[in-house]
Amino acid sequence: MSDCCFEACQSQRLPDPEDETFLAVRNLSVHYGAKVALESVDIDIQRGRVTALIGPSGCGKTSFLFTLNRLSDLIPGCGVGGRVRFEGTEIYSDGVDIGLLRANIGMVFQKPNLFPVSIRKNLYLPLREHGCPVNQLDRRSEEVLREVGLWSEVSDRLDASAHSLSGGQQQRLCIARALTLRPKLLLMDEPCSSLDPMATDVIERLILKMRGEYSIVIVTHNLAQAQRIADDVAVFWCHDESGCVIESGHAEAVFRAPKQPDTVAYLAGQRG
Amino acid sequence: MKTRGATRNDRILLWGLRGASVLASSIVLLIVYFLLAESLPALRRIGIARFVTDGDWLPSTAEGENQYRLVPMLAATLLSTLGAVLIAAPAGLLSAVFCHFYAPKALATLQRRIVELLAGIPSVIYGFWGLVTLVPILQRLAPPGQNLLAGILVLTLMILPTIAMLASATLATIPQAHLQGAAALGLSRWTTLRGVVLPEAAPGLLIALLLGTMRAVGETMAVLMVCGNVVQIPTSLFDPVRTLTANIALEMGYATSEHRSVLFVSGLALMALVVLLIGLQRQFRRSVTLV
Amino acid sequence: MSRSTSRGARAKVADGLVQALVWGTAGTVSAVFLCLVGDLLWHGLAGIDLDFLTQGVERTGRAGGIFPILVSTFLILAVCLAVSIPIGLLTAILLSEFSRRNPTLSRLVGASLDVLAGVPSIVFGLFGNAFFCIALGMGFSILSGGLTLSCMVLPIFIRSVELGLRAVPSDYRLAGAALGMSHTSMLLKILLPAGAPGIAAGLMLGVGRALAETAALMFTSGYADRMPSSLMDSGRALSLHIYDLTQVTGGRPNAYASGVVLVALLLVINLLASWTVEHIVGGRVQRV
Ligand SMILES: Nc1ncnc2c1ncn2[C@@H]1O[C@H](COP(=O)(O)OP(=O)(O)O)[C@@H](O)[C@H]1O
Ligand SMILES: [Mg+2]
Repeated sequence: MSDCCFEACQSQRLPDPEDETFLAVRNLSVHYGAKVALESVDIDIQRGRVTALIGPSGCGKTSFLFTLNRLSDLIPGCGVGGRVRFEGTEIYSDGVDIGLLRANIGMVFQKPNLFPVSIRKNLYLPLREHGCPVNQLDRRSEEVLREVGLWSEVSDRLDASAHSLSGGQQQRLCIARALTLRPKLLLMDEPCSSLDPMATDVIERLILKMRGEYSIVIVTHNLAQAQRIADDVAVFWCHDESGCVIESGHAEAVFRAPKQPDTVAYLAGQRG
Repeated sequence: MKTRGATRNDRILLWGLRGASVLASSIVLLIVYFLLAESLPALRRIGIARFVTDGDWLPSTAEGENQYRLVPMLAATLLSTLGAVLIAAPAGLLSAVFCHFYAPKALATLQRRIVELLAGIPSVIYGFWGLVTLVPILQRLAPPGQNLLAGILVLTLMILPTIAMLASATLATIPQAHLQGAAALGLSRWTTLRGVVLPEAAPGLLIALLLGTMRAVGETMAVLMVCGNVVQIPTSLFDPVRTLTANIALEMGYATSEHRSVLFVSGLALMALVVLLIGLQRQFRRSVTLV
Repeated sequence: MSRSTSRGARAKVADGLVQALVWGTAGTVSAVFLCLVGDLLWHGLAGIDLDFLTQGVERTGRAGGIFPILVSTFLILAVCLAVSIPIGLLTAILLSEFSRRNPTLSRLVGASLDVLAGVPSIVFGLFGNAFFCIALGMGFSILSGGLTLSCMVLPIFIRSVELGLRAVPSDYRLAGAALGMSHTSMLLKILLPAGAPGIAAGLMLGVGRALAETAALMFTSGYADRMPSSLMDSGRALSLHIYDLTQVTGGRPNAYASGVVLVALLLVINLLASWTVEHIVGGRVQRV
């Protein structure tokens, strides 16, 4: 079964990761109960670059992101196989401090998921949790709000409910909240898919600004967007109802000269 | 640094939660243990058979001559429950049907509120009301008025809100599409009820009925106040009776040694009845969700 | 053709009959409710004044007020809540947040709570008498009564808090986890505040049940109608006072008045509970 899929997926096998690799994924698989959602994923993610994950819905992109910060632990019935090595640490070995791991790997979700408290409290909560001194809370909050361009919009109503913001503002606040902890890697799962074009544009420009400063893995359905923002690309595909990575590499190379016929078809269809 | 402390907090929290949960669930075990421990002397010295074969309920005559016939109390409990369920089940269902299919919106809300309020009225008030209002009426029919029928009527009132509210919750789960389908066929309201609503709601209604039964079996104050409390197997609805629960309430105050132990036996019997009903209901729930 | 019309006519008759039955039942239920409440108010309201609420019990309840009874009732309630709130909250949190990690324990706790919810109140009375009064040596006391009631109230409180916590969107849990927050701070800072309406509703349902209870208190907190001097003193709850008054001749006027007080307290609590559930819990669930 797994052999057949291995054939079908034709994913590249990578050698054992070296210690200085930023994030190395080897032979990763994800299953929900008996259903295999993702199989034999090998991929290296580089420091300081934006990696875009593209591919049709339901082929395991979200599942993949969830394995990187072990949010998969929280999903009932979800099991993960294979290795994920982040800055030299195997994150699926015993004794890993999951709180610390998640502080180092931030995440932004498809739908804004702010806590039902004030804007200020949303930023304070992770800072307090990870031991930020009380006298630095305000400074750090202002810093991240400026980074995502929200400061001028919300500085006069920090104590308003976070849910009173518009969808685009909420999503930017989610990004700011993830940035409070200065994560080494930021995961973004279709951060624009619930937003209107204007808000999408604002977020896209924000990501472009963050490029080089942060390491980002972003799932997107918008190929034009992927081309504009990504340094690297990984293409996810479904074979026999289970997902895998069929092609990955420099964005320019994949977009200009895709190697796999499925990638060609997908890119053509999307441009269509 | 901080995160290490946090995982320790998490571990303490988890143990706290487990401790509290074990404590909460051990209450049932404690109840069963104490019921058993206190009934054991009676079960040993008197034996179950005598609860049936003894000629009468004479719990506090001279030592050694006591008689412990529990059958009349058991009969009273079962008969009053049966009567109340026979009336309250259809009435509760009709009241729920009224809210969902017949009443204009405002009336439906009013009826729902009334049923809710009825559910919140304590049993001692039902008993009191039965005593001052219902019993005088029944007295004119057949003195002394405190009898099985009074018990059945008061119990009916008490379990009707339970059944009506659960039935209403069940009716609310019937997909709107099925009702629209029936309406599109031009079916009358009664045909829709019989053909679509009742079959779909049946499992939920049965669970409502079981819960109502459970409440009626365990009710003490209301039956204590209106049933007359004469130890006898009733031959008509107008005979005064004494239920198992009323018997405990009446005699626990002065019962000692063997007598007290027999009262705990009747408590154990009540508990067994309730556990049986809960088991039935859980079994039923499971089979419903499997389908 | 004629056959089908006769069948149609019969269906029409059945439809009408059922309609009459439905309206009749609903009308009867409402009428009985009005009769019950009306009767209580008609006879009871006259007996309530400031003296009734602030004076001691005289001539075993025929005269005087119900002040010591109210004090005992609230003390019993306080003991009950002091015990059931912490245990109930912790158990509800386990059931709603950690049942996946502790499946066996959760299943056991769930099953035992189901049984506990069905135990008749007189059986709680027997148990409370044997365990708290005798085995633990507390005697007939407010403490015994309150502890017995807390056993009774726990399943209601726990289920309601559990529902309240489950209604908190799982988005918050994911968001918290993704920020590396510990379970403890998630609970304290996000889940419990967001689940507060469910906790409040559970609390009020529990208080309602405890206030209404009579049979479980007969042989645990006892009948003493004087002012309790400590938690180890026996104290008569309001509901038990009403029952007792029906057993003494000439007790009815005060039984009515006490009944009005009890029902008024319960109405307020129940309305608050359903209002909380419908407007706050419902609203919160909808908004997110
Ligand atoms: N919690 C879950 N339980 C069961 N199956 C799931 C769950 N989450 C996702 N899946 C399945 O796993 C597959 C991959 O889903 P997902 O990772 O969300 O894909 P994508 O993000 O690429 O759209 C899908 O077939 C989906 O049905
Ligand atoms: Mg997805």
